[in-house]
Amino acid sequence: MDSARCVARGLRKAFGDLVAVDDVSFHIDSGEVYGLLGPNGAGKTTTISLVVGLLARDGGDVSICGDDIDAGAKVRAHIGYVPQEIALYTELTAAENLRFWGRMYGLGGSELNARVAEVLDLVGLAERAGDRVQEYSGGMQRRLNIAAGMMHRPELLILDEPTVGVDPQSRNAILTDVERLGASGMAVLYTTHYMEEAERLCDRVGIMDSGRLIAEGTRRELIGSIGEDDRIVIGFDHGTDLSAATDVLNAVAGVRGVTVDGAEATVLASDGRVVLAHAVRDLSAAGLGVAAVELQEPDLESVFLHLTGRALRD
Amino acid sequence: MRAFLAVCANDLRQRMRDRTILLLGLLGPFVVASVVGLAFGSGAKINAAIVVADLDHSEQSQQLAAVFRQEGGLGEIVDLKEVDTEDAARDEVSAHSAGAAVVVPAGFGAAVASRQNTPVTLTVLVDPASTIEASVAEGVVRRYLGGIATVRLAYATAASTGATAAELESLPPPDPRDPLELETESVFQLSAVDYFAPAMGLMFLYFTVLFGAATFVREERTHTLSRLAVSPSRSVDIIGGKLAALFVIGLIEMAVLIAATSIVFDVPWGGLLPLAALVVTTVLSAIGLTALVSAVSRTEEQARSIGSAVILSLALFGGQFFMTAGAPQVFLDIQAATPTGAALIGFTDLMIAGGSATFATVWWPLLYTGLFGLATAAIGAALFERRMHR
Ligand SMILES: Nc1ncnc2c1ncn2[C@@H]1O[C@H](COP(=O)(O)OP(=O)(O)OP(=O)(O)O)[C@@H](O)[C@H]1O
Ligand SMILES: [Mg+2]
Repeated sequence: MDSARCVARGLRKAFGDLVAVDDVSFHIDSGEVYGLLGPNGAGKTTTISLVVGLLARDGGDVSICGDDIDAGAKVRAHIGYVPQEIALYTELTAAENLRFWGRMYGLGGSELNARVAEVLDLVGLAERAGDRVQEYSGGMQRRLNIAAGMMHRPELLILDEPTVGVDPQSRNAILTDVERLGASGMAVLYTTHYMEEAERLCDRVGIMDSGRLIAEGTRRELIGSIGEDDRIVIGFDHGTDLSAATDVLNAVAGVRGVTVDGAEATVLASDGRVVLAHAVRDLSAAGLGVAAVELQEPDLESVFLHLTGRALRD
Repeated sequence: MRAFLAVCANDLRQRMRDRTILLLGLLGPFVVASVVGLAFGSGAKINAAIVVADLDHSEQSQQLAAVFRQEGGLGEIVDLKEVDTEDAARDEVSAHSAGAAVVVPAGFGAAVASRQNTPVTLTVLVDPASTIEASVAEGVVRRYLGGIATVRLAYATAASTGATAAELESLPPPDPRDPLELETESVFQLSAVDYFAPAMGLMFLYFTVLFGAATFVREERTHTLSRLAVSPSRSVDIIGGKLAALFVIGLIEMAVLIAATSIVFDVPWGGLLPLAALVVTTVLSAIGLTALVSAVSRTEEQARSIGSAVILSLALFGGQFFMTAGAPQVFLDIQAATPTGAALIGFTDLMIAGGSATFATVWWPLLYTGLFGLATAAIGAALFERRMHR
């Protein structure tokens, strides 16, 4: 596995009786964005702390770019670490912070200055570079927090819930940044409890609950694995003959079942998009007036619900 | 090394943005030393104001008065005023313009010269609040009278063994000067400002440096400590860099204090090289304690209160609050065992030694504060390191 930037095997960590991380294994290749999706307290941060060596492991091992994480300080130079909390010196300016963190990773001189400008530009803070961080909005602080982890162009960037407490606009900007980084060949480990973020960003997702990795794969694989159908909800014009409509829908290839509730019919199908197109075509051919159509595909939320019987966010 | 310097510079930058630190650290000791200076007579050496009322005008009475004026002896600290009557002397003491008065009655010289058992009378008037003047005046008078008694005893002994009148005449008259010079000198060498400039300086140095312990705990609260721990830098560079920043601040603070008090109050700090060495080891002792306090504090609040408790106890036993000359030996031993006390002893010893001060003058304070600093810094840093990689 040449391209593996991060390999974790059998990670385990207990705090007293509480097993916070229980036999967790995963690997991340270069250019891959790997998501750890799980509710509060699932063990995401603890897992990250084990990966970067902040916490001592009770079991398992970690290798970063082929080197054991315990091999010494140098191994950590491959990692860009963005903690869940804002980890900056707030009475210093953004540029001063970035310069400091760059130095801690061995940057210096004109290279350092150029990199500070570049990273500030990347996260859209170039104009506020000389302002103290305590004067920044929460969203700006979040973005600078990420910037500080990228100064040394790490091969593996680890982001722990980087969008928590951020307005939708800043959040979108952060997600765009991460997408760009993944596309540039960086390996990214991204934790979140937002299903939409995992779906949008991650090439592969590990779903965590109560310290265990309960499922892993691409979005398609995960959704396919639970065998749940797509749902098409069709609203009809007033006075439409619903029993005729039910007959038409049942005749469409791929439909697994139809239920009617008021002026609405819900169709279950394995491939919702194809069935939807055929259903609308056949209904209009039969002269039955369709007022509204909605396709509900199962998402990672449904996967989590299916696996644990609970919603991701309570 | 790059990480060490980066951490040190980063901490210095943050500290320099904190005005209160600058005020506390640089102005604090100066203000306190000034107040003490004002209270004890602004900056000048202690002046023992003593009055002599010479009603005798004899050779002997002039000799006695001359003891108080002697150059290189009591003359250095005694401010002598001569008056003509006992009432005038009494008025000076009542008005607090003199702390003590010696009244030499008429007939004093003749009585001294007689070498017979003619009573020799001297009156010392004292202001009970002026202990220094009182003890100086009484001391001089007692010595003088003791000298007369010795001469009379020698005379009587010689007479009883059958010496001739000529032989008796050749016995020396009492000379009050010889035995008096040195004893008073060592006790009253340092003025209050001389003493309290290093005493207060040390306390404020410890305050500024020990409050720096909060910056360690703070890195934990602001999560920058995790980020530092994940960086490829060694913990020793990170902790060392932070301590080095405090070290620089401590050095600056001491340098400002020494420069300012020697210019404004003429505090005689002593030889430059041993002084510089003592400043370095003293700041080191504060750094070591800071590392320890950082390691045992969980919150910044805790760091500051533990730090204050440590500083105030050290100051109490280290002699920061009062001059310890004349304190019981047990106390002096405890003082020497505290880093602030040992440092203070070192600084005052350098002042007393003046131009002849060498490293040997302060070898013990140097060794003690230096080793104390290194040992506590090592223990504190090792304990704190465990919080970075748990
Ligand atoms: N230092 C610690 N001491 C004791 N228990 C801890 C410690 N750190 C974490 N835990 C516990 O371990 C479990 C996992 O915590 P962790 O912070 O890894 O969850 P998380 O998935 O990151 O949650 P969140 O989404 O809220 O950040 C929680 O039950 C937490 O209370
Ligand atoms: Mg977390």
